[in-house]
Amino acid sequence: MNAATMAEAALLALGVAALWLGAFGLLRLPNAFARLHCVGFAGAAGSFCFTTAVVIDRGGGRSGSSHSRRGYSCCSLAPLPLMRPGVRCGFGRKLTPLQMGLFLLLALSGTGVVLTREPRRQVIMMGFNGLVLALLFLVLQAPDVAFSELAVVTVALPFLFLIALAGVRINEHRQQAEKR
Amino acid sequence: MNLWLTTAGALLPALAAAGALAATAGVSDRLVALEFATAVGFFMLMLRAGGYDQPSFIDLGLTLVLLSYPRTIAYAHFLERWL
Repeated sequence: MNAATMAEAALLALGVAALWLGAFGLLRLPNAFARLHCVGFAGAAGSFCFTTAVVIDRGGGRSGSSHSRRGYSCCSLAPLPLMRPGVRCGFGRKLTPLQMGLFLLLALSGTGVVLTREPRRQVIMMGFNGLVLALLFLVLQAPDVAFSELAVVTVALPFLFLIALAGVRINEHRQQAEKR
Repeated sequence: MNLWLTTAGALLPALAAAGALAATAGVSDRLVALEFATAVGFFMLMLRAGGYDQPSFIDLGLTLVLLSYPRTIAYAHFLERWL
């Protein structure tokens, strides 16, 4: 293991530690603003560590880096290294730990969407569920589907639900005002 | 599983923590949790692009980050004004 690989590993570990700290703060801090501060710090620190690790891995933009350059198109994908020993599932494939974790998270977040009864909260939980779904699509070798899911879950779905909920709320206010 | 994919897997507990808060807290706390989940999701996408040696996968993370800003502004605006 050379110095660059060790620096990469150290930076990746630091980034993970920063995000774990952010998650801990998210769960433990008392109000939304304190949580927002903590999350902002964690995101910035993680971003710095991961980006620096990528720059070191790519040799600072010089030619002859450790990775080969491939075409810039999703249509020319090489087979992804996903098939590892693990739990055997359908179609003769095996689940990786990452896939298992994301499947579990998807089931839990879907249950969370169903169990949330208040529509405003449910919309936000649906956003999280869609994000996990997009991550799972990428792990299951479907980057184009993940792309569509990201577009739907970050733009189309929230606007659709928020506008519908706002319309319902405004109509309720209007009917109450007319009754008076 | 290489270093990048292992790191992406190590971020799963942070994503789960954000999910736990997004499932249980009040509206504003849920929004903060969703923001954190978006940040963690972006890092996972970026690390997988490195792990699979597919630079085009970074487009996914870029899309997520660019689209999440108007989404958050829309949430904040709608929740503050109409909902």
